[in-house]
Amino acid sequence: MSMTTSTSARVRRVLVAAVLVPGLLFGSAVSASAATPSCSSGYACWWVNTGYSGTYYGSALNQLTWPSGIENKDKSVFNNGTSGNAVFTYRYAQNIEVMYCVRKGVSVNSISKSNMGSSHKWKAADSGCY
Amino acid sequence: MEGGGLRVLLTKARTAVCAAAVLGVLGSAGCSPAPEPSERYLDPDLRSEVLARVQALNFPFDSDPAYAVRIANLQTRLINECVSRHGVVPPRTQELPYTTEVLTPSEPRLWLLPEEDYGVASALSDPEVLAALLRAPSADVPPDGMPPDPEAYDRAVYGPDDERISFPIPGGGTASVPVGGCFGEATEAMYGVPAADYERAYYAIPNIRDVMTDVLADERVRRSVGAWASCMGEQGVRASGPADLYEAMSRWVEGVVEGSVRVAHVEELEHELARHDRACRTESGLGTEVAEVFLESARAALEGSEGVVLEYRAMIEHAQSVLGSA
Repeated sequence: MSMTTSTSARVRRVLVAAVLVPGLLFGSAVSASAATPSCSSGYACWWVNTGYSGTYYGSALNQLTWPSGIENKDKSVFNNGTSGNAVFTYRYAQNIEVMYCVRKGVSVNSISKSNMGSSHKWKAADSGCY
Repeated sequence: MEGGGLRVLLTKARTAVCAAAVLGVLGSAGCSPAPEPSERYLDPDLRSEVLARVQALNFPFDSDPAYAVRIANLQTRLINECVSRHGVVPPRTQELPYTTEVLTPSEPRLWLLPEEDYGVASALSDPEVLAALLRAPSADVPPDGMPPDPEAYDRAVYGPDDERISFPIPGGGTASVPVGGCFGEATEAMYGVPAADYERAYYAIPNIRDVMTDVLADERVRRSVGAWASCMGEQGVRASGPADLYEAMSRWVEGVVEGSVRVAHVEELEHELARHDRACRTESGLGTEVAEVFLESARAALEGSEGVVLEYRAMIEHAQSVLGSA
């Protein structure tokens, strides 16, 4: 598999977000063109557009149902958790049917199974995770 | 299997396959011979072979489920020790517990290794699983601790330049993986090679997700999936493929969470669906077809990447030795 190596200055991590409940963020991305997305430590973030742009949803919790702002709208994702857990995104509520999983530290700018997420869970990765 | 009843089902399934082809549903499949019924996928030897390939494609996670949790805990410890050496306070994280909780089968197992049921009622019978489902999300405990200074922590974890490697992924996107800072140091300590080398191997080895994508695109499998769907339709189950069965599982779990369905009733529904599923896998030939195509695809993928698979396994063995001495 081919690849490219990139080194970029870390963008300042600023989240314009409304804290709804502890461990949850909802807001708008500051920069649509940042090489590395902005997502606070301890959180995983999903964006409604590819390239980490548009409205995002951040969560440090396990969520059995996603709010309507992100449900079936997930197009890009960044796992910035502080445990070694991957974040698994599911097609249905109650964490049923894995769509994709993302290891700690990894971001995906365009999810192949996009617009299908309805819940997520933090758990140890397997080899199918990005 | 009840021979007479199943032959009737088969005739209906074959008719449906050709009718669907006439309507253009199956595209190039046309009215080619319908898949033959087969129970070979239930043969213990074939199932063992399939399981071995599943495990080879998800090495070592499928054969050693505790590995995932142990390596995640090791990574966290190594990163946080490194962050502390840089004078940054890491978050207070607890060791992840090992759990065997599985609410529904993974997609490869659903397709390749059907059981007498899907394990949903069995999982829901575990009070801890049910309690976790009933717990309000806002009352959930964040699994990740928050560092006192998130920006300083991220700078230490990813390095001041946030060095990353990007890999193209199916569908046209890119996965960006950190290889610098304390993250890169931890990766190197775990796998015994520079972080970039480990990540290149990780993305180069064949994985079960991609092999299953190839399997499900295979014409023989698509044809038998069509026959399976017709057969399930005859039983009153609308599903275009086995993965659609997750929708039923979701409804059951939601019903139990809402209190409108008892676990005992889920068990009945689950056994009934699994019975239809198995009969249709046999009648449509899907069970055997998907197992055989999977074995061919898995063998080709693993043999075609033998060099990097061996490299990757050596890295995992290094990690296992680190875990053993930790």
